[in-house]
Amino acid sequence: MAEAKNEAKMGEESPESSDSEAENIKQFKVILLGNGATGKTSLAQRFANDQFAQSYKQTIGLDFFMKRITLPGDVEVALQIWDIGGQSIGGKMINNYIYGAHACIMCYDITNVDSFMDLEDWYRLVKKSFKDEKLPMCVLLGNKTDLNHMKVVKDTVAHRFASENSMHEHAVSAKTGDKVQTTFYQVAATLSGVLMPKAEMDSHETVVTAQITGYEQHDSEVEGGQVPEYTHKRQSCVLS
Amino acid sequence: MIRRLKKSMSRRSSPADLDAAVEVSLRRSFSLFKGSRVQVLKRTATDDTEDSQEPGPAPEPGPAPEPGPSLFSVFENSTVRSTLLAYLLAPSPVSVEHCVRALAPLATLSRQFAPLLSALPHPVSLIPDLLVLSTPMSPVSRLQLYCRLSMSTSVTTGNAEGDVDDPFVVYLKLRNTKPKTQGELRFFEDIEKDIHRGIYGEPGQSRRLQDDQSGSDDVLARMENALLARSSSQVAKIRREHKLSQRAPDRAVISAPFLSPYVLSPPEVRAGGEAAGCDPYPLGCIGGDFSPPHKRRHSAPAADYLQPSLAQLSSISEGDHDEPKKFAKRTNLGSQALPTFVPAFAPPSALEISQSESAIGSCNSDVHVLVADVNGRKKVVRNVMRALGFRFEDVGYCQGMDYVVGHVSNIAWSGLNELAGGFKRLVDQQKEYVDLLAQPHDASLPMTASFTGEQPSTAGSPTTLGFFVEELNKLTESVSFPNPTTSVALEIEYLTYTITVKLFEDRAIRQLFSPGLALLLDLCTQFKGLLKTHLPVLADHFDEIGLDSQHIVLAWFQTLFVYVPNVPRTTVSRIWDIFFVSGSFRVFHQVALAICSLAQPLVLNMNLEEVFSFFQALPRQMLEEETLLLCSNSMDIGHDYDCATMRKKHARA
Repeated sequence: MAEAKNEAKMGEESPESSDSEAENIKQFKVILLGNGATGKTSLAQRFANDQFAQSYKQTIGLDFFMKRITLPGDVEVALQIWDIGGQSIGGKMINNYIYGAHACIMCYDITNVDSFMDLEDWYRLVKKSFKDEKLPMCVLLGNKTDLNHMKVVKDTVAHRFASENSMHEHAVSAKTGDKVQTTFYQVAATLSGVLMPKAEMDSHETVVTAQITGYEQHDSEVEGGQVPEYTHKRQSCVLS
Repeated sequence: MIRRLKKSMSRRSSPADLDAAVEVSLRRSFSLFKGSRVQVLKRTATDDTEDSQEPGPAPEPGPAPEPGPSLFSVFENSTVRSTLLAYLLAPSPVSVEHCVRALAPLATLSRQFAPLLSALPHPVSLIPDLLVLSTPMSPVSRLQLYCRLSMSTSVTTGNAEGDVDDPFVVYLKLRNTKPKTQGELRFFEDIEKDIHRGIYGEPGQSRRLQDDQSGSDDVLARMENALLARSSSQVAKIRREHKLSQRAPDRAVISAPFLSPYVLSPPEVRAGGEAAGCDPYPLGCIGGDFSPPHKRRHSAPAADYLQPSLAQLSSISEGDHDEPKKFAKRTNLGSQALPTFVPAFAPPSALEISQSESAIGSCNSDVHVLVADVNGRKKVVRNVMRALGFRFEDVGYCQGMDYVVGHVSNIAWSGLNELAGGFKRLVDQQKEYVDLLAQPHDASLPMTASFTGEQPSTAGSPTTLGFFVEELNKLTESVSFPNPTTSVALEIEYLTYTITVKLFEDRAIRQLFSPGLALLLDLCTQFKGLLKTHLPVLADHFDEIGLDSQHIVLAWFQTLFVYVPNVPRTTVSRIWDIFFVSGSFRVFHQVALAICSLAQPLVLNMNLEEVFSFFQALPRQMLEEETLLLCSNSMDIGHDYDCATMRKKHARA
């Protein structure tokens, strides 16, 4: 119980925690929820450090990121991003993490139906831990738009889920950085009650460079990754 | 080399003395197992039909050996069993080195473990905690200890339904089960996600993200294949192709941990260690070294020369393989204990490399080096986790499990690898004997043996040495690995599986991953209390900045400290040793407290953000085994963290 109280206290205090008094920066706790491998850590890293790690690393427990941003009207806010391990935290434990959250970003992978379906469970967890209190701002976030050709979660379904639960909806790509900044700026603006004009929002968008991906054509595990001979060009085509 | 050997022999008065010493010690250990061997055979016969629960009478040390017609006749049937038992019961380190490392055929080693170990005269509980607490173990000893602990009870009795199938068969069945339900399919996919894209199976498994290093993996794999084919020219070719010059420390060779015993231990050092009377593992199979650290570092050749390469591998896996200069620095800071004790690691000179290469190239006995590329290691972890998922259906797969399994498999890899290293060394030594024999008799080196040991009857026979060599030759021929990459990997899988099952069942790790994560939560709450009583200032600070200690320690507990950022593998192994032997979560609490107390002075003036980022990248010096274990030993936290009671508490599902 004492624990819960502490958490509650913290939730109230965190918008103006002790060290921010001097600078008068508002702090918001934003938590990332969703199945494993939906790209939560990548999102947070893209937003906070503008980096993307090519190889996947599972998050066990919690990763924490912090970023200060300036909203229109010179409003400075700090976003605490709590990146919660997809699978290793569940049930009772989640309370401890989401208590006092100001915003809750529910992530799914647009190429993975399960990750979307499971958001219902995640959302139920959130509702359960906030019980009688006001729910935090909720955002439905589809990640991996760079893999749009493999998309399996239909827009209409996502729209319905978002509107049913009055969530904001975004689609981003942590890999290319597409719309990531916009989304977080939007969240920060909504939380601090600042209006974001469209033009202003777009100005935060980083320019996404198109990537040409050369996919490996031959499985490295098959025949030692050797390219079969028949694929080699023997001679050039001669037209007579 | 031979000249030096001759010299040392003439100092010892005769080569036969050396031979005699070997033979005497072999006899001594055989005499121990001869009696028990029969029982072992009987037991295995009954094991297949009846249950193997009852431990059976501890075999008595047999009577003094009759001077049989052939010293090695005991090997006729069950070579593996005999050698292993000899190994496990060996009274002295000499015989460990000489009989077992020479003779244990690795390919069938682990499958034979179970009946053997249940026939062991020493109850496992006799291993004193103190031993594990105070000494680092060699990889082989560690593997042995873990096997002893895990094969003695639960696994040999088959699966939950009371089946008494051969555990190995059970394992194979589980491993090859195909997913049928949606849930099973999903847990397969989850494993795939974490393993396939993760950083699996690196010996110096580190949490750091790596850049794509498929290029170097490829070189490594080809190098290993070439070595497997025992063709030095091919190795040289790869070397040339990749411009791995002979003078610079060759990354591919150094980073191949399995080659290290050959590549990195120059014979002089080995001989020097032996001549000085320092046995690497004076306590035999469960041994360690009680000498003070600064001596220990120089007297354990095998371990010492293995370590730097592993450390290097881990530093490579951390992603700076383009900066070979950093190697030495990293190594010193890295897995070695305290910088002052550590002899600076010198990369093998060109001479040594070429020597070892030619040795491997010209070696015509069937010795294979345990090798596997990263994919092979991933495969091991994947298969084990699938089997585990089917065995513990309530758990299936949970993130974090792969870290635990990965670490267990690393223990198995490095243990078996060191065994293989010893084996190879012995074969090399044996070749020296052969060379000696081939030379014309020398007055200063009388070939006739004069036994001073227990068996003077064979004295004077010029064939003693020859016989020894002959038998060794025969054995090394029979001890070949038909398909080293698959069969040895399978053995490692099985060992890994067995040890992990033990962890899951007896050490309550199952409850750490089963849905709800009740035990994990319990541990975190316990730790919170401990933090309040032992480090009240830090606990207050955490409260002040709004940090729950659970956010930090949860990942540590769930992965048994494998996931701690920047933690050296040796430290994790030491912690596990204590955990495994003591059967209590106490050590985890102690170590977590130790980390916190070491961090306290640095953390006290940090805010939430800084504290988090500090714990996400702990300074490596803090996590060195000596520092951390010393500190954790001083944490007096009582003994209420027994695995068994915790398991009962949370095993209602």
